[in-house]
Amino acid sequence: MAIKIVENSALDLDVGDEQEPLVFIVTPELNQQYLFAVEDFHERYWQRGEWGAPIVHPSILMNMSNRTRSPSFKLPKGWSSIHARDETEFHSAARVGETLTVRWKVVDRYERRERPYQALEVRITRPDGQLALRRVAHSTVSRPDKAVTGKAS
Amino acid sequence: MIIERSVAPGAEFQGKEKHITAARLLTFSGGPITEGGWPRKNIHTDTDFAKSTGLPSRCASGTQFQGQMVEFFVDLFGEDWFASGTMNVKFVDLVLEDQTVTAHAKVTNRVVDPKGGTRIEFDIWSERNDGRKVMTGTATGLLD
Repeated sequence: MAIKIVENSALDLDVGDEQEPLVFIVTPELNQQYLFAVEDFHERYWQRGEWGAPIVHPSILMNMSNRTRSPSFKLPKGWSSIHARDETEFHSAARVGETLTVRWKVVDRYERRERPYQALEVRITRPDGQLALRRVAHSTVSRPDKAVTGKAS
Repeated sequence: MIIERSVAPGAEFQGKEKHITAARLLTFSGGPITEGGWPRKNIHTDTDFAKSTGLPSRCASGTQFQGQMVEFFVDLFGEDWFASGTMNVKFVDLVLEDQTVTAHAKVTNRVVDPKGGTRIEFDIWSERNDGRKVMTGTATGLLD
């Protein structure tokens, strides 16, 4: 199987299909943007120390591994992707300044409570090919006639 | 590293309370600030967009408070956690703008890791300011 560009919806992807990879550079500014977002200002993320060069904040890896970050990700208007659960392994600390590559591959499709789910294996690799993170993420969709509303109010 | 080598099942740890303000939603889910058209419109950054999909309001990406949980584990185990940590989670509720969320962990077991060292197993959960759990699951960390 290979990268499949869908016309209307990521839900059209089958087991074995891959989304288009995302390649991005973690600049100091991008890292610091996330440090602000999650209120974590530990020095390991912005200066050199006993841990070596500054480390990419893990929340960037979590966010950039969302399937919606793939350049080929698509859903019909009014729909949104809902991240339901995942299993994540950490393999190595990515460093600020590195170019990271995120790859997604559909490994399962199923239905639960009348909602369509897809499980995607996500791998984030560093410039030398070393794996930073691997996760299997399960997602469904929220749409106006079948919204995921939670119990937030 | 905060966790002690003698840690036993039943020990509980709590992370810092994090306030999901509008600015933090935008910086987390709006894409790089330097990008044209920032912030991207999505259910996390735009109230109208969120409501158009049936959500009550814009809300935090699950990966925002999952990222906070990872940060908490890196604080517990130190930078080595990036090379050996695991985390399995389920998102069970929303965190809306201006709510707060706090990471929690409880040790459930200690096992000998086949590759060496002792692996500490946890039940984990993220809790909103109204006491509701929004993410539940398990995590592990390795002690040499």
